[in-house]
Amino acid sequence: MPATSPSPTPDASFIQVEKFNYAYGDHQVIFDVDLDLHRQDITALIGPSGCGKSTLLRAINRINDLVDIARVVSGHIRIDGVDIYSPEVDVISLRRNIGMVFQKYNPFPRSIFENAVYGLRVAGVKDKQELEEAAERSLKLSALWDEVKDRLHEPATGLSGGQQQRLCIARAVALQPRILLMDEPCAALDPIATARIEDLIAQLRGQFTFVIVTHNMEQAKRIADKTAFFYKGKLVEYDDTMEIFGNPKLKLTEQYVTGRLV
Amino acid sequence: MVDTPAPIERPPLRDLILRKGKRTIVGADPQGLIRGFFAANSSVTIIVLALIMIFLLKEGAGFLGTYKHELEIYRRAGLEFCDIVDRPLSEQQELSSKLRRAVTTSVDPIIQGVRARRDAAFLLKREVEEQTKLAREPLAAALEKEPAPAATELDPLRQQVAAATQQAAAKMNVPDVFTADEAKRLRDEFAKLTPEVSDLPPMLMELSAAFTVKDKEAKQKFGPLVDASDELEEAPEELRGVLDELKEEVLATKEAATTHFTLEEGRQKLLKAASKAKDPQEKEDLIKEADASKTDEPNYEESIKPVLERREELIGKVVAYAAAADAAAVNLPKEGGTAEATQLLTEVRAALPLHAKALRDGVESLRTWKQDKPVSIFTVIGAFFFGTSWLTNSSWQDFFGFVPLLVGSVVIALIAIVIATPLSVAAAIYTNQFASDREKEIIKPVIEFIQAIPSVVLGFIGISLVGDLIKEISEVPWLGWLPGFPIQERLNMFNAGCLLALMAVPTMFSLAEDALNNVPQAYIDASDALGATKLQTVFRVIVPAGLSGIAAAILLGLGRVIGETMVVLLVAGNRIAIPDFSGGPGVIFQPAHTLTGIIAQELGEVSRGSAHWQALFMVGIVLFVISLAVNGCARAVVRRFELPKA
Repeated sequence: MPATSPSPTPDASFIQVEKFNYAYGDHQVIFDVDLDLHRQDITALIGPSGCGKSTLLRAINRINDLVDIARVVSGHIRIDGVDIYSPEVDVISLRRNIGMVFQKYNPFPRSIFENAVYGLRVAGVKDKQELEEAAERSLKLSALWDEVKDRLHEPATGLSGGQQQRLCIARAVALQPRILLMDEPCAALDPIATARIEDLIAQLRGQFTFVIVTHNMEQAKRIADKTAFFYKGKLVEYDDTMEIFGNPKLKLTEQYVTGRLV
Repeated sequence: MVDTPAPIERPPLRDLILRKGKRTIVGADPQGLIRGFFAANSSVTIIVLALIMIFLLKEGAGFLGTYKHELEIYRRAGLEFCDIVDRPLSEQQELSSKLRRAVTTSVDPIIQGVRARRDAAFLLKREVEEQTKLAREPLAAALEKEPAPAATELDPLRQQVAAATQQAAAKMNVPDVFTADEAKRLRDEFAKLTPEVSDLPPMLMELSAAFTVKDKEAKQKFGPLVDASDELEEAPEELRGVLDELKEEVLATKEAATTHFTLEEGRQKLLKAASKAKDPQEKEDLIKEADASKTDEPNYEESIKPVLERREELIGKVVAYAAAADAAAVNLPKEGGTAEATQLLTEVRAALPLHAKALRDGVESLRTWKQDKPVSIFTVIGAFFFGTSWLTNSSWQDFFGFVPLLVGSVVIALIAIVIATPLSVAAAIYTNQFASDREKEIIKPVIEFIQAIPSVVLGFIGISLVGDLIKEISEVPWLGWLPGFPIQERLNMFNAGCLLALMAVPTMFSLAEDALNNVPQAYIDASDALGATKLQTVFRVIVPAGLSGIAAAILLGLGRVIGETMVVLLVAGNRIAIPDFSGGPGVIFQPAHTLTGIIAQELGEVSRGSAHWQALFMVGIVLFVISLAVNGCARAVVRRFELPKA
């Protein structure tokens, strides 16, 4: 059972969210969130639509910077002790070291190989052998290698949905990031493809620090070490997954995880 | 199930994400440099656009001043005074020619027969003479010799002529307006033709006499009409006489003034050069040259006096003529000999009182006219933007009225859009929604290829093909009920509109097709799922959703059409006059000139900096503003009705 297995370094607070307030223009979406995510843990963010969990995820790799009206109102997010919103942080390096997988699989309309090595190419890697090794490694990591090794140079769009999503994961891990952010990675997939992605995440446990947004309670139960429940922009409860689902401290959490929240 | 490679030893994340010493190129951030390069490229267009505007404004800005000056001379020299009478009087010629046509068409049916016989006979005579030219020429030459050659010398020549003439007369193809007897007589008489006798053969004399009698008879039958026509023709003669004398005087004043200002401009240039010249000798020469060309502005008050002295005389003549015109309207017979003549008479009868009234209205202006009334800037602006005549290189006075060109451009553009819109939108709907992939592969490139046809080549097609085609179609009798048919001119606004429509179709088609393409598939699926047929989905969901894009396509097509030059220059007929809208929709078959065409046609021929040059730039500015406005509207439409992003 993944959720009970001990984290490799359970005490290290790797991602620290401190009194974090975030807004789009005048519309505040995250209120005073305090959250410590542990190194190498798989953390699930759950909550109804619009509760701010996706925004928090997108604040971690600062991809929301690209939205003009998005801004940090107050508070900090520290990664490995560095405040990522401080001017000393190079946002490009930050994103290079934090992988992200989106809800809808979005490979580029190029070959499988080119998709896998895109991150390395934009990072300036030109050595062919290095690229090939990286492609093979990341495709093996994402459990796609055996399926695509004979057609690496065919268009990625010819793959099935589940394969495309795994290619997106391969693309992200090719840069060897420390953190993998996943925004409902299985929402567009069928149950079998979903199971494969979940297996993959379980296999990668311990190599990356996962933060996964999901609407699927069962998925959270199956794969996450810790679960954070958000409601209306606030963090309601954050605990071990088994605690959240088996023995929630708050009524609100219980109502949500049992599907009775109106 | 997969062999996962062991994680590699890596430095702490905190070291990776903190900013390190930055790479720079000559002190600048390379990312910033690349950005700057792209920014510079995009700003080039904006700078160029600004320069175009500044340049246009710079050249056109002086226009109002120059034109004001010209209009001042026009008034002070007294040309304006003469135009008060001259303008309405010019209608008289048109009315008069209408009456003449009425007379001709009335008389024609009566005299047609005799005239045809006379003309046919004369034609035959000419043919015989032409055919025997070789024999006749030596005889004619011999006859002219001094002293006259001996009969022995002439006789062989005479015999040759006689033989040739007899042969030609025998071969003559006599038309059937003559009876057999008459034909025989003609042959006999023509067989005797010789250069020695200059009198007409008796038969020709008889035919001519018959014609004269018949003509007189016809004219008598339509006596009142003929008289009215003659009267109207002669009525303004006295008025014209006075007016022409006055016009001569004022024109002399104007020319003196123009010369003065031209010389004065040269003199100022010389003085300016002199003030800059370093060498004292050169300076003195320049000043001397300048002084030599010094002229005085004509004394307008003095020179207008003889004109104004005859003011009452002129008024008298105007009143007399107006009365004559009124009388002519009353005396005009109600009916001509043919339907066409009657129609013409009705028109003239209706127009004459208006004509007389226009002249009488001028009397008051003649009385109050003052040469020293200042020309306000609003008058000048009005004269440009609302002026109804564009008249250049005139020996009398140039006018730069913008309305005829604007009307031409607008009417042509509207014709083009009315034709192009259904074509392109229907083609877009078909290609986007109904066509098979194979059809799409053919339709799209073909339509887009039209864009590649040089507009001057389209102009050829307009002149040679479309023009003739429209004219021939318009002459088909059972289409005569269509307005404007049969048409007079091959090159007209409709012809230009057709070609411009063809040019606008590719742009409009591509944009409209894009608009339809952008309709989210979800809408289409929803409509299909609710049991709509394909056609219902197209017309209830897809077209309404794409309507803003289609509207923008139409507007951008309009912008393309208004700015097009070559085709309109070649095909629109280039008549600088406001088309006559009184005939209803048939107006589209009249020729016109356009804003773009006039610039292309005249800019090469005018002297730089003259009022005409500046007027053309003003036209350019207006054209620019129109294009901007049309494009702005298209953008606004698209933004206003934008679909939610899928």
